[in-house]
Amino acid sequence: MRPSVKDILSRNGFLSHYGHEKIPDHWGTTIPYQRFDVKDDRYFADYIETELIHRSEMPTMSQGLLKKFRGNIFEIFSNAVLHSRTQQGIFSCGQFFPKRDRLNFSVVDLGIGIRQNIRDITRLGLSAEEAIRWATMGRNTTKQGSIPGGLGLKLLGEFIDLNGGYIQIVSDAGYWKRTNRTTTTATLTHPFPGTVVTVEINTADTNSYKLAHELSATDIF
Amino acid sequence: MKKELTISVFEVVGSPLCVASNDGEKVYERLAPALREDRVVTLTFHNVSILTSAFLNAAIGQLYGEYSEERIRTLLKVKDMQPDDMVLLKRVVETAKQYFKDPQQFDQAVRDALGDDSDGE
Repeated sequence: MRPSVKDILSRNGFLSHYGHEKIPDHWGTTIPYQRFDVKDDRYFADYIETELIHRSEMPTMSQGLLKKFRGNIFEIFSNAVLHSRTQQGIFSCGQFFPKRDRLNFSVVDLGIGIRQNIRDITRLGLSAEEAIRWATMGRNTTKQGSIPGGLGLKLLGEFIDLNGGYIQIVSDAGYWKRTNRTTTTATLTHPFPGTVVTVEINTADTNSYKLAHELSATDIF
Repeated sequence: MKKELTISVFEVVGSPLCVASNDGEKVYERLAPALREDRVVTLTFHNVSILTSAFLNAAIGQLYGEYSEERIRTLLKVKDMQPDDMVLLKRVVETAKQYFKDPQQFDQAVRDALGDDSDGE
């Protein structure tokens, strides 16, 4: 493991779960490692509010950016709850890099992975790499029956395109990354037993995220 | 004329955080019977701070599997929504209309997924 990675994982409490020494987070830049059950959405929400949104060490972000970021983090969490079938929970941690104006945040599940989920429900025999591409296209969903879906990852991609950060998804042997409006994919030699979604945002983003024209409530349906 | 009904999302969910699909389902379970009885329903989002597409798909998107667009447009009103939340709901509604209109979508999705990316990447 690279020393810089080990340093962060020692500060955020991840490695101390595996017997390593925990290094104090003197700079206040880590978002602690935490495990959640799939039913813990309110506990997750409290964690996001406490450790991300209302922390004095975090950079000052515009209200528009903060709301978009928070909304997208919850989209990722709800995706893990809905699709992963994890028996072992959902894990999160993050890191702020003040000099680069970047904030990284990951949501991880140890579930069946995107490829298997698509295969089980749609019978599509996609590779792990193709499966992530499929899931991020916007209109595709493994939700069946009465509840539609397929929007969460599309919205996340649109947000990141505007913000200038990146999204990285690792699921099974699939690797997918979107940055600068460009997507790259690869097949990993060593598959991950679940799905990792990492978002890096540009915290100095000055986009207003205000709407060009407001929508009327009567125009929705 | 049947009495109009107002449903508070905050009260049904019991939280300002409207994130999980199963919380959305609770709202749907209040909405669907009212629409079945031809009642005009106003859904208020007062005090709601976070909404996800997963929640809105379950709460409102799935209505399009049961009722016509016209019926939903006539009977369902929303109020006290932030402008960007209204945009999210509009996206959810558009996706739901497509989802229930196009049973062939998985076939097309296979072609999309396995063919060239359509967004010019």
